[in-house]
Parts: sequence; structure tokens; C-alpha cells
Amino acid sequence: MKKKIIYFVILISVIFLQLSLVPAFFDLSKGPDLVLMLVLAWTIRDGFEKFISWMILAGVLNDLLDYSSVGTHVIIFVFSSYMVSFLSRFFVVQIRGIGFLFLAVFVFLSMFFARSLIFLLPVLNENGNSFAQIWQNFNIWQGFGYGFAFNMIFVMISLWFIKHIKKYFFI
Amino acid sequence: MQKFSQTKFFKVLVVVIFFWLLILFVPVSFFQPLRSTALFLAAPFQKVLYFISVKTAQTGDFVFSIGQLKNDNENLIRENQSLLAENARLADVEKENKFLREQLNFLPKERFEFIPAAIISQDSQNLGNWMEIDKGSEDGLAEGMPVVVSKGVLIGRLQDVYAHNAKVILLTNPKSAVNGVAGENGTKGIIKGEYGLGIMYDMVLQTDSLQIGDDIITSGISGSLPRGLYVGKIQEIHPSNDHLFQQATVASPVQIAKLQFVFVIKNSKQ
Repeated sequence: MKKKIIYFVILISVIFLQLSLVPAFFDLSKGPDLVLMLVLAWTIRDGFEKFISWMILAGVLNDLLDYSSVGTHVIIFVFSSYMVSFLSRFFVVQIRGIGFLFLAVFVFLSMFFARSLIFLLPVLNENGNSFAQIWQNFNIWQGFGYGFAFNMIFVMISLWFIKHIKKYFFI
Repeated sequence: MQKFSQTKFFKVLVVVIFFWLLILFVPVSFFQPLRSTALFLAAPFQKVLYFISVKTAQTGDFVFSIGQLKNDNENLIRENQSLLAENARLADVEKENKFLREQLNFLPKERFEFIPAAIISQDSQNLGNWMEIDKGSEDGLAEGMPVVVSKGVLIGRLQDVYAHNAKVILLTNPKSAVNGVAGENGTKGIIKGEYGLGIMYDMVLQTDSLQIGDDIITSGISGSLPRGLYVGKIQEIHPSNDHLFQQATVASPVQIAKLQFVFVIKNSKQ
């Protein structure tokens, strides 16, 4: 129970930070994806299977508060985490050495998948827009580099934070 | 050997297919009650956090700008001198402007009822597509109402209205399209969003006159928005991809990310 309460508080706080703090501090499309990075860090620390129900909850809450179609972030979180979990079998993710490089690759792939889905979903679902319009949307990727840098910082903070929270509360 | 139904991949597949079908086939309105409750519960926390974030960001901007203050001060002294002369000229222009407003029906504020609202969150993908305000249907708001900042600058329209919250679709949202007029000639066009990157003035006939620096206001055509709400200035003009129309990039005077309060034009008082 203690673990559930702590996890929920962390999760909802990060969702609030994403919605209220990030837009005030970062320019258009250059901000970090705080919730996605927290989910990745949690998957690395807890493992995919232990955390899957939390991913679904995080995704649904994020979608409700973010005015997105319910399910969008669930798919992003579950797929990204599975990818991390799958690749972690072959590569050791660490904050130092070669593990850091793998962490960067995971963050990059997750971001790429998340942004692709978020921008393609409305285009594919709604008006049957042309391929030209989909291509036009790609100018949105201009903030990807900044987003990646901020995400790397946040995922490392998340890894450190989760490790210490688990240690402190014995969860 | 592990059964396929017990593998991680199977779980992922089930979750992804389930939520994909949910996105495709379940109407957005199905989740309205749940979303309304979640937004209601989250609003107080988000309001406080958003306020603190904006204030902190503004303080940060101020600290970084101290070095520029000396130069700015010298520039301001020079500017002040030229403004004194300009002021005298504008007094005359004001008379003319007053007459034109009466003629063109530009933003007759006395005719509108403004509802002030605090912003409590913005597009989490940082694309400037939407923002959330702390007023909703219980305050008399309804979908489609225009949202302006204090000086009567249009920034968007209400899209989803809940009991105590509402989503504002911003002019920079690609789904936003508003009829506009530009410049002294009243050149008609469509004010459209460009995936959070800015505002475009589109569908302007090649034969119509359009100048850099022209002001763009809402035209009031179709009746969804009143005439005369200011949108921005034309920054750059270029032909459309098919060369049938002119397009222009519009610079809005409003920095959305730093806003704390907006006004919703509820209705006409007439």
C-alpha cells in the first residue's frame, strides 16, 4: 500500500509538472517529456512486468489531463517501455560508461516513437489528410535536439530519484 | 517452453490493440465525465503550480536581462525624445482613429461581456496548440467563444468546455481557421495555425494587396467571431505552393507561454 501511494504521488506530480511547468520554461517543442522519461526510468529500475499497470494508469491520467484521445499515451508508454525492456536483455543500461550510450539510444527511440505517434494520430484519424500534409507536420521536429538533451538530464535525475526513494522508504 | 499468451510481447500486443481500438472507435465524448472529474480534481494543484512556474520563469528572465538594462536605458532616453514629437502627431491621429472605429465597428468593447480566467495548464507537448483555463460552463462559457488578452488581442477560441474548466484552441493550432481582414484595403483571408510554429494568413487572392506590416483583424464573416479582434502584423509574404494564392506569416504580439490570465468574450451586450 505504501508503495502504491508513493508511486501515485510521484506519478501525478510529474504529470502536473509536465502540464504546468514545462510550457512556462521551455520554448515550443523544445521541452522535455517528463512523464515518458519517468516511465522509462521506472522500467529500468523495476522491470517491465512489475510496472505495466502503472504505465497504463500513467497513460490514462496523462491523456485525460492533456485533452488527448484516451489511449495515446498508454500506447507510447507501454511500447517504449517494452522496447527498453527487450533491449535491456542484451545491453546493460547505466548512467556511466557504455551503458550511458545505450540509455541515450533508448531515450532517442522513445522520443522518436512518442512524437511520431502524437503527430500522426490526429492526421491519420480525422480528415484523411494527404501525405503532403503529414510531411508538412515534420517541421515540428526542429525542437527534437533540445528535447533530447533535456530528456537525458531528466531520465538520469529520475533514475537517481527512484533509486533513493526505494531505498529511503524500503519499497 | 513459455506459452505465447504468457509472454511480455503478448501483453504489449493486447494493451496496444485494446487502446488503439479505443482511440479509433470510441467517441471522445464517452470520456467527458471522467475527464471532467479528473480536470476538476487536478485544477487547484495545476493552478498553483502554473502560477509559481510563470512567476519563476519571469524572475529568471529578469535576472538574465539585468546586463542589458544599461543599454536599454540609453535607448529609452533617445526613444522618449522622439516619442514626445510622435505623441503630438498621434493626438491628431486619435481623432481620425475614433471615427474609423465607429465606421468599421472595431472591437467595440462596451458591447461585449468579458469573463476573466486564469490559465492552469498548456499543451504538454509544448507545441502551443492549446491551453486550459479555470472557468467553464458553470461560469456561462460555451464552445466557440473567443479568447483574448487584456488589450483585445485574439489568441484562440474555446473548444471543449467542462463544468469548471475549458480548453482553448489557440490560433497557432493547425485545426484553427478564422476569417480575417488585413490592412487598409481590407484584404480578406483565412488566419490558420501552423503546428504551434506560428500563424499564417492564407487564401489571399493574388490580385489583392498585402503589405509587410499590415495589421490583421477578424472579419466577423460567418458570425462565429466578432469583427475587429486584433490578431497580429504581417511579417513575410510568399505565394502558396500552387501559386494560386498569397500566404503571409503573422507575428502575434502575445507570448503565450508567459500568460497567466485571459478574457473570454461571453456575448454581445446589445
